Parts: sequence; structure tokens; C-alpha cells
Amino acid sequence: MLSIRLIHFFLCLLLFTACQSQESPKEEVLSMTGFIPHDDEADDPNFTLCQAGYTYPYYYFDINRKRDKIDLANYLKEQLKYSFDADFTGYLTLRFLMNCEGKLGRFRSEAMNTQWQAVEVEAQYWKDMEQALLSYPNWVLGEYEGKTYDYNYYVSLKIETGKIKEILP
Amino acid sequence: MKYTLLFVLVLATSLLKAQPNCNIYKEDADCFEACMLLTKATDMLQGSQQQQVSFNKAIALCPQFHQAYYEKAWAFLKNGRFIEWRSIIDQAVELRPQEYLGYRAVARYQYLRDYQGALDDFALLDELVNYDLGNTVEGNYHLNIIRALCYKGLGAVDEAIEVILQQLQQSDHVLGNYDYIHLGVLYLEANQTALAVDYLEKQVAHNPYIADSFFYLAKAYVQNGEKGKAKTNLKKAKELYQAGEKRSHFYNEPMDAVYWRDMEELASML
Repeated sequence: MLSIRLIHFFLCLLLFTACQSQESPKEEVLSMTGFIPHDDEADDPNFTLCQAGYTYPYYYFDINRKRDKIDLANYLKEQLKYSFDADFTGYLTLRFLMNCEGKLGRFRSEAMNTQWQAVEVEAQYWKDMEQALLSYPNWVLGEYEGKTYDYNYYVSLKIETGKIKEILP
Repeated sequence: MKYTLLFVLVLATSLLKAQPNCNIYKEDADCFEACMLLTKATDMLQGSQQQQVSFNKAIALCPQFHQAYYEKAWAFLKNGRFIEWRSIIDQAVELRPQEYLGYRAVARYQYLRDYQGALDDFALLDELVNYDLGNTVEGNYHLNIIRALCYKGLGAVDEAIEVILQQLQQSDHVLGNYDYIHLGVLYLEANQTALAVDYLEKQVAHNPYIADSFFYLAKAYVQNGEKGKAKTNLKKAKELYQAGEKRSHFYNEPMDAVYWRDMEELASML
């Protein structure tokens, strides 16, 4: 009985915090570090979220344990066959949101060199990476007890002298 | 029910951080208040704006309060905001290098596969302390095993084996659930099949609850030409895998992770 009570307590805390007070500023409370606000100029206007103003982190839905990491990694390697700039060593990271219908949007890019500094890379890298992620057919939904939720996720390519060495996470 | 428990576990591990002992700050009112703020913040949803605001307030009140930087940094790391994570955790490292260098090394290994960066952090730590480095925050590995896996990541198999063997010889080493897996796989990679079989048999004896143990033992038997034993162990590995009993992680992929396609590939060799 205790474990059931504990489960209910945590679930209420996680999923329904916003319901506890109709007057509480939900976004202020729930907006997560991984959340990406809509940008009128950059984002697809057709991409919408099922929850307003927040997403859950991917790990709340156990995404990394449900997915097939090698399947995604092989797909990305196949789609991104060309060589990146041979002088580049570092990370190309795309953060994005997955909505409750399994659609991806609000991509945010960041290239980082080995000194952990943000650097500029060719815009085409991001376009190709985004396209590859959008076309990947086996994304895992943020599902919990038959309902699906929006979540935030990221994919990072570890590049060494222009070649993909690792796909993270 | 299984996923409910997992769900709760993630949440619980996000919420239940080590509570600082605020009494040590009683002489400094601002730092005491910062500590109390941190204590409350660690009960909030990790990464929520509310929690980040509390961490910022704690840091503003007491800039030398290293735990606030450490706690604040977590959500950035888990969500792929690496540059911000590094700038925050570096402040904790600067304040208490002996306390946070090992953590930073493990994070660089685990989240970024930044093997050389992690080894550099371990080298800095070696210069500062002469006591046992202890285990990772999650407790699964001794830091020297992580150090060995960084060598492996760089392709330095012999160094990796040497570091693991040295650690296993320490009288106070508590055998980790996966220590022998990595050592066995390293011996497989070094084509030292007999030693691979030896350590992977020990792994199965120590941890017969995960597919990984049996899969790698099966692989070692294949390499050793013992197909009958390989089949038996692969069958067990598949059963465990299908029951979900394999190494996996909420935030990233474990080193030497096992996949169904690896088992199918091995089966095709039998």
C-alpha cells in the first residue's frame, strides 16, 4: 500500500503540479531547462504542442531505454554520409521538441569546439541534420499510461577532424 | 506497473539529492540562507525554472557555495546544453577541485564521450589527492574503472586492461556489477581469448541477472571455438534481453551496451 501511495504522490507532483492551483503561474513553475520557446521567425508555425508552455525532459518517459540507439545512429550516419569540415573537431548538437503526436520541431543548434566554445559551422550541416531527424521513422513517443505528452530531446554528433565518431546521447 | 516504477525512480533520483549540512554555514547568514534555499530547491522538479531561480538566488547570496553550482549544472548536462553545463560546473571545480574533478571527468566520459578530457581531469585529480577516488555519483563504477574505459575509448586497450587490473587488486575495491564485463570485452578486443573467457565466466557468476554477461561470454566461447557453450549462453542472453534485463541508462548509452542485432549476428555464426 505504501508503494502505491508513494507512486500516486510522485505522479501527482510530476504531472499535475499545474492543477494544484488554477491561479499559479504554470509556465514559471514548469518551464524546464530543456524547454524551447516558440520563435516566430525561426520555427514552423504548424508545429504545435499539446501542453502549453512546457515540455517534460525525455528521461521522464524513459526514452533512452525504449529506443533503439543503434538504429538511430545508423540512420543518421547513412543520411549524413558527407565529410564535415576536416578542420572541425567538436560537437554539433541539435536540441528539439517532440510533441505528443510524434512530430519534431523548434530545432536549436549549437556547435562547440574542443575548448567548449560556441563556433559557427556551415548552415547546411544543420539543415541536413534537421532533415535527417525529421525523416527518422522510429521515434519513441512520450507515453505514460496510455496518454502521450510533449518532451524535449537532443542529438549530438561528436566530430573528430570532420568525421562522426559518436552519436549522443 | 514496471514502467510506473521506472517513471517514479527517475523522478525520485531527480528529486532526492544529497542534502547539504547547512549548520556549517551558521557563522555566515547569507551562506546559511543560500544553503537553506538549496535544500528546498533540491525538492523541486529538476531543471524547472523555479528550481533554477532558487539556485541563482543561492549563488548570488553566497558565491563560494560550491554545491549550488553543482546542482544547478545537472539539468544543463542532461539536456544537451553542454557549453552552459561546463561554465557552471567549472565554478564548482574551481572552488573545490578535489571534490568535483572526478565528477566532471565522469560526466565528460558518460555524456560526451570526451575520453581525453576526462583523462585530463583524472590527471589533475591525481595531483591533488592521494586517497582512494571512490565511486561515481551513481555508484556503479569506481572512478579508476571509468579511467580505464576512457583509455579504451581512445583505443588504448592495453592501458585500459592494466588500469582495471590494478584497481581490482586493491584490497578495498568493492567489485562492481560490470567490472568483469569490461575487462572481458577488453581481452576479447586484445585477442586474449582465454583470459576473456576466464573473466566473463566470473562476470556471469557475479551478475547472472543481465543479458550482457551471458552475451559476452557466448562471444568469448565463439572466439575460443566452443560453439556448444556459446549456444547455451546466447540462449540465456536472449531470454534475459527479451525480459528487459540488460544494461541501459536513463540519460545515455552504457559502454559495451548489447543490442538484439548483436545477438542475431552472433547466432548466425553458430
